[in-house]
Amino acid sequence: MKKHIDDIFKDKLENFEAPVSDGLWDKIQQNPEWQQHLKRQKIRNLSIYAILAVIVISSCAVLLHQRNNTNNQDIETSVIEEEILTENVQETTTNQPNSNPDAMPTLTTDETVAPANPTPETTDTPDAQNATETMIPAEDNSSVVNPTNTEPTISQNNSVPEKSSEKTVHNNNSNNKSTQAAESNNKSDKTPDGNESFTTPSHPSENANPSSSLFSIPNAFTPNGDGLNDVFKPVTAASLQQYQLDIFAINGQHLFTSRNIEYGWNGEFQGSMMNGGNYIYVIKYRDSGGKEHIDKGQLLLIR
Amino acid sequence: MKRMIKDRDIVAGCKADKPKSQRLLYDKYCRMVMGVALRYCPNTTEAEDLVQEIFIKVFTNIHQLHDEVTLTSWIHTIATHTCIDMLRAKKRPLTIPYEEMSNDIGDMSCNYYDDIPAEQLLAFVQELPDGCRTIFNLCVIDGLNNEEVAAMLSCTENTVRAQCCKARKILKTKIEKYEKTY
Repeated sequence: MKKHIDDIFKDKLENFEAPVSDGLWDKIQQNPEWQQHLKRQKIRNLSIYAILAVIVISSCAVLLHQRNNTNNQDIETSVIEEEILTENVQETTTNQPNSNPDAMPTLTTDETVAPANPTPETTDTPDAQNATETMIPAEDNSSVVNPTNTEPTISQNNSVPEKSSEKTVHNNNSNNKSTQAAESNNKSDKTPDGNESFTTPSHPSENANPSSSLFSIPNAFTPNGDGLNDVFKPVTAASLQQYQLDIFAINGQHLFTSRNIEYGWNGEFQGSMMNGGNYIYVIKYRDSGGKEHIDKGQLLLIR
Repeated sequence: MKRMIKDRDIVAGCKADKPKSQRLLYDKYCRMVMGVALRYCPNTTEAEDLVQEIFIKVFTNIHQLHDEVTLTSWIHTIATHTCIDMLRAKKRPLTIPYEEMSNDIGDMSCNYYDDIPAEQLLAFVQELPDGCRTIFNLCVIDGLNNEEVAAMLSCTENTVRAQCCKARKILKTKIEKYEKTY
């Protein structure tokens, strides 16, 4: 019987199977290539777990952070709302004749038209009007919960019962946001409302200090040369026997000192502008009674 | 059907790098892989080394297999390629210089009584020179055409044809000798 040689081999060998020696599986397991593959796999699995863990942890942290932030904001807004409420009540009780919102658009003109005479006690009638006028935009700001504006807003209200804001308004370049205007008041009375003016989110500890009502201290300033809030300084109408303002960096470095109440910090240290951020102020003074006070707190330098 | 389901489970397990499934796959296909490896190698020791390599390749590349139905042919392909790669890596002359085959068109049939065991035929193949054996395996047993083989081994089709003829001639004499002895 004749058969083609190809067919002979194809038939027999195409599906040829042969037994393997028993130890071959173990050899495969011990093969360096295989070990390397297993190692790589292990590393890959580990790294996957590590990445997952990092993702989970970071998302947790972000969530937590956000929750804290919203909580804080809620507290801030509620505090401010309360303040605004009390202010409104006071406003109505003081019965200012001109406290209508119609005066708002004429705010800046009113301020510039107002007498530049630096005598605090003389200008009575326009002041009352001005105080209410400046308060209206300030209230708008506070509802936005802008930390830089909240304090001026609140302290602004102290000016309602007061009658002496005009002078400092003009000294401070007739600031539109009326921060200095507001701060210039607090002349002598220490009403509970005056204390409340310092319940800002950044330093609520001052709340308990009755002496702080002597000052209006902004918690932020923007030394960018635009004429608005370029200089940090406390504003007071009280007559002080001694006064000293010191500014420190967060790390404790002393940056600035001033003994003149009109001379504030412009954000510079040794001729160069400091970076934006938090700084610490310390104000030492003696009030008219000769009693010594120290005010401390943080201020925010904004660029 | 049972076998297919089993195959699918095994492949799924191997894709998840489960040692148990890998062992099952090995147990099921090691004989086939060994058969292929033996055809391409001159001896059993080399063939077993090849089987190791082949299974490592199978396990590390199993995620590239998309259809479990083709598992057998996929493993077969990997085995073949690994064998060729090994021969290439050992720098054996895969292709022998083209030899003029004068009696190319000779009778390639021989008396055959279907009594030669597969192991003996395998031994004949293993005794072939490396290049001859590889080309004979690819062309005749694995059934690839000359063009494919030439591309795989990066040689000319003429070489493939010549080597194949040479292999047939050698094998024919061996079979005839075997038939005469027994």
